[in-house]
Amino acid sequence: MEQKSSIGLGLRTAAAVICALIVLFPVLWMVAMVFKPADVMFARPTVFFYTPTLANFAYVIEQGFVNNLITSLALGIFSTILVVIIGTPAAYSFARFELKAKEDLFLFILASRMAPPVCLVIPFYLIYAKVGLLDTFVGLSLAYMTFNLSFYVWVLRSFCRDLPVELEEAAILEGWSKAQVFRRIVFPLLRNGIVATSVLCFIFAWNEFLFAFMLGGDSVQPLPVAIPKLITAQGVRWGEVAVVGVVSLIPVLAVVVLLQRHIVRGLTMGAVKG
Amino acid sequence: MTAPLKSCKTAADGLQLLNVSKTFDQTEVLHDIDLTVAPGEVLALVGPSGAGKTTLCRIIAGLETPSSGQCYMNGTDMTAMPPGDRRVAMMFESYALYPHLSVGDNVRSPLLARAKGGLPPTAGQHIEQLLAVLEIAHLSDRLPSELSGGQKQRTALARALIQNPNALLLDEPISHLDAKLRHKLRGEIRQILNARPHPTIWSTPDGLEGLSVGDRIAVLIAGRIEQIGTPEDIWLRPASVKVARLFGDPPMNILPGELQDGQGRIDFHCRSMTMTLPPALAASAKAIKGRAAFLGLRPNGLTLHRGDDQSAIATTVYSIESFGKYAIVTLITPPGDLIKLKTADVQDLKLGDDVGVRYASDQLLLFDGTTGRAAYVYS
Repeated sequence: MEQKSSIGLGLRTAAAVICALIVLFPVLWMVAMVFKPADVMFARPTVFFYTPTLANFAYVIEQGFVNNLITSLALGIFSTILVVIIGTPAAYSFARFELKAKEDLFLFILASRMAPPVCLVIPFYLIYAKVGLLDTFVGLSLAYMTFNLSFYVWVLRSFCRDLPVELEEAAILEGWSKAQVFRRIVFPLLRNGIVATSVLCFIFAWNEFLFAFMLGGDSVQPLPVAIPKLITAQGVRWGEVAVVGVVSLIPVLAVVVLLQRHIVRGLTMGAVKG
Repeated sequence: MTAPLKSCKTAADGLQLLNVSKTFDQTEVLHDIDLTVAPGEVLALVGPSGAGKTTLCRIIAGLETPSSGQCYMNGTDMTAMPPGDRRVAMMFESYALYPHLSVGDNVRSPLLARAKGGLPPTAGQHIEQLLAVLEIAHLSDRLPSELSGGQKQRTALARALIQNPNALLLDEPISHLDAKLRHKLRGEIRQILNARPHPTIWSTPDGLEGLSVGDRIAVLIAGRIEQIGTPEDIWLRPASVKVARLFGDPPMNILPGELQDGQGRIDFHCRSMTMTLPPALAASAKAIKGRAAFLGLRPNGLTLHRGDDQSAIATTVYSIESFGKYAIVTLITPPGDLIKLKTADVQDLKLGDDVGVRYASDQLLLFDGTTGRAAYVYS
């Protein structure tokens, strides 16, 4: 019996490893390309042993990709902070307060996410051109914010709804003001939900290409827009593309690892009541 | 005991409700509630679930506004006062402990809310003392999720008691605990409340709990106060069939029948038996003679009788629940009425035995068959 179950465990582990390898293979391939010199990049048969080089990194830095990285980070962080600041009270209001046509308004908010982004990029462009937001950091942040806000409000409302109203009522009876109740009771209890949802918003902003391409112009270029610069007249610089790709994975991974505790709790909060 | 309450409209001290009604979406949840709770008094608010107990507490706390009527606190109209200004402490049925704060911080929270410029230096000691009295001092650093049901309940109680409130509302404070703990805490909490100067409302669906903790009982059924009185009043002289059914373990046997006018006497007749009312009861039942009526038989006012007896109700043993010291025997009459009685004498009693039931004539209760109101005046 014991032997049987250990065989079962081995089989299951093997299956999991195979699945993980299939999913991770492109990523591993990309990581392998990072240190490869150009001459063995696509050599056939595949060269497994080569002298690692930092030339790819040097070129990427020389081309100013560090600025693009900073732009990407700043855009993601700034637009996510905006979303949290505006979206948290909005989600709370939708969950708690009596509003006229509340459900209609709420559906309207979600509807703004239903249209494919490409439908909205042209109106955005025309409006931004009029008001002078084209090619500006603030303009692009606002565009990301409008996209993420609907998603954020939609998700966070259900977190708010899961909070028992009685906690807030108990605090009100104790003599706390409404603002204090929000700060002392509601916000700490929503923290996991806020973290989990805003990480998703950050990832969206981090990966976005279309709006950044259309609205950011030459002055605001996050990483996804900058990568095509590596398609040169001499050909595609694959090693450098791999470097940018790997580096752009790091912030997202770091965010997820650092905030894992909150994210897992946040994502399972509705299902498992503590 | 019940009569003067409605008239004392200017009670200066304590908590007073006048003609309070509440309607949710055209459904009347509370109807014309008049209630006074004196300082230091514990009023047990007894009613089945859905009777409006929680709504009544929420109105007093200010979490709901009454559709009509007023709430007074020590003579001041607080109907429109915001909940935070009322200084009414409420213990929620769900306890509503802040899950991210430790036991100590939960209890400290109401003090912090009202402390302008920091807690007084004695506050910490005050909290420790209260936690010690409630036997949760050692749990001060734990989170609510790490507590058992009884410990959560004590924490919620501590959070309410620390406030030194104008009134204390305990909404089903011990309903969700197991029977043993309920029994223990009932006495303990009552003991603590004895030393308290504020009016207290203790709501519960359990009639016996209400009888044991309340100085007075208010029976709330379907949004109306059916009766207010001392535990003795409620127990001995329930004002209606509904009240009679709510108290007692097991609940009182209620037989529907009608009052027939005999020669110089009144007979209660139902499908299981005919019985001549004892003179005291007959005198007060005159007003409804010839009409439908309910006869109430207390389970502990009945005795089993084996053998032939004309005055006993003929029954068959239907079930026996033994509790060691006593047993609850359910009997069935030939037409199918069930009668429960509580007795210590169940030796060699078997299911299916034919037995007679005798009743003590001073333990009978009579109710009007149409209104359900009591049709007796016992001195």
